[in-house]
Amino acid sequence: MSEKFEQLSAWVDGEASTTRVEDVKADVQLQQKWQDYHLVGDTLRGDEVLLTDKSLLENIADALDDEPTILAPTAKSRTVPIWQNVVSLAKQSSQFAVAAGVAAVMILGVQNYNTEATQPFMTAPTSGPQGGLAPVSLTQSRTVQTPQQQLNERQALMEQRKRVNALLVDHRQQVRLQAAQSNNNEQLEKQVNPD
Amino acid sequence: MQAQTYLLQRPAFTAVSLFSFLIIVFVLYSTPVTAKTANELPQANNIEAADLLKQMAIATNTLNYASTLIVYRPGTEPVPFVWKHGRKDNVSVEMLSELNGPNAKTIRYGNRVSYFNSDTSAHSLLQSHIHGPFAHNLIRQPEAIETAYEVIVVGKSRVAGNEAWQVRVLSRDNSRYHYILWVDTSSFLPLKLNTVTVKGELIEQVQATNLTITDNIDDAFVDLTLNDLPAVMHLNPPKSYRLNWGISRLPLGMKEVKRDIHRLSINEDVVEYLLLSDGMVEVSVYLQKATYPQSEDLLFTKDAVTFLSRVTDNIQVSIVGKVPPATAQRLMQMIVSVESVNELINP
Repeated sequence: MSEKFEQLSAWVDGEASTTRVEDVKADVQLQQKWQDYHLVGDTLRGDEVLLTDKSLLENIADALDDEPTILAPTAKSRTVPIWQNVVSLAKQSSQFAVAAGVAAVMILGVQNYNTEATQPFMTAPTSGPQGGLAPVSLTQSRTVQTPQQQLNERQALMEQRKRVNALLVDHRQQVRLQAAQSNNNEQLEKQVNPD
Repeated sequence: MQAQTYLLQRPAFTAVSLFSFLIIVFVLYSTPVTAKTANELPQANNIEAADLLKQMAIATNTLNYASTLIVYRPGTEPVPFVWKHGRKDNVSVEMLSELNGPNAKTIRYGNRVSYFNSDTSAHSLLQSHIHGPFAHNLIRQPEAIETAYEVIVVGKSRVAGNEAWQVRVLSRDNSRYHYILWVDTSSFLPLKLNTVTVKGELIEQVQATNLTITDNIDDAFVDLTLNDLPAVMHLNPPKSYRLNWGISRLPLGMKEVKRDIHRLSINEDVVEYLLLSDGMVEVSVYLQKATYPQSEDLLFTKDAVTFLSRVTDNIQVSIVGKVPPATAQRLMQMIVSVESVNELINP
């Protein structure tokens, strides 16, 4: 059954599916689902949804009515005076505080988890001498770097860029010259005999 | 009918939803039908890949045509070109000019190609063709790419407003990029060329936005005479250099077309040089003294060209060319001293 709906969902999404128009025509359930899927899709896409069929809304309302009420009776809380509302608000806010605390812990946890996950990738290039003294000396040499060294490093980078550029330009020239040399003879022959 | 009666039984289901349902049903029914007819078209009048390439080679060398080409590489600005060709006094004349930026222009009169660039003085070289956006051997000498590439006609589609044959040019050993070419069905001139990786990612796209074929030669060529063009720069005949290194195993269809020792024009560095070609793409291999230490390999792709360099034992080896990075790396590993090359040839 769920396989049928899955195929229909794929069909509605315009993906490959075994569902055919005939199937939908023949199956009342599929028709209902077809409508619901499109409604859901339109709502998710933010299209203007014209609810011509209220059955979905009615169903939701019915389901809400059937829902057993577990917490305090609603009728009372509606009639309580304002100061009691303030008290309940205070109570609620303490609940909010607890919830916020939990959320904060979660966020921290997620952040921690994330950094743990990414760290191996970030340190991968220098992972060779992990442990021992090597990493310490490496970082030290970097912090102790004098302006002169930084300048040298930058110059080295510039030099490298220049050398790379020289090779790229030469490659272009070589390709162009290559066309000249390899095709000269063939072309001359062609000029003599155009066919 | 069953669906419609069902829908009508439900009062909340208005004419709007019924209408949209019918439209969707109509669309769903109609699309497979059109796709089917499109598939049947090439079967009705098919063409052999070899024939197609031959006709294209004739068309590009004989017709009077003008075309605007856009060269696009993902991540960079598209570069527009105008490409014209004609027969003047039974000699092939061709022009390629960049439409943006400094007016870089290349004109070919027979086998003399003149370069008008802002950065160098105008000069001419004896060449058979202009090195343009379309790979020249593909559109002019298809036999030159036969060993390395397999050409398959896929079908028909519409490009630049014209009906076009779609052709896949596949690297036989997957070590080079693949190409997809679209050729005008009526004139057999190229309209579009995609360079893609084996996975299908776009590396470069050449797209014609218009193509005009005329009976008479283009105005640009009417007053053109050989005397207007700069004098031919005669290149020294290629000397045979002996390098004490080589490449032990080349990818399928790739040949060594040049080896020499020269200076780079920009920084005057002396390099030992090897040029490889498979007809479609050229790959340069450079060996030079490393003046700076380079601990890691340098590998990047710029304008569809892959650059790879490595420093070992104070020698910098660089590989430059329109090949996938993996192929550049494999070539790098295949560089051996000449003794081992001889051993491989005469074991």
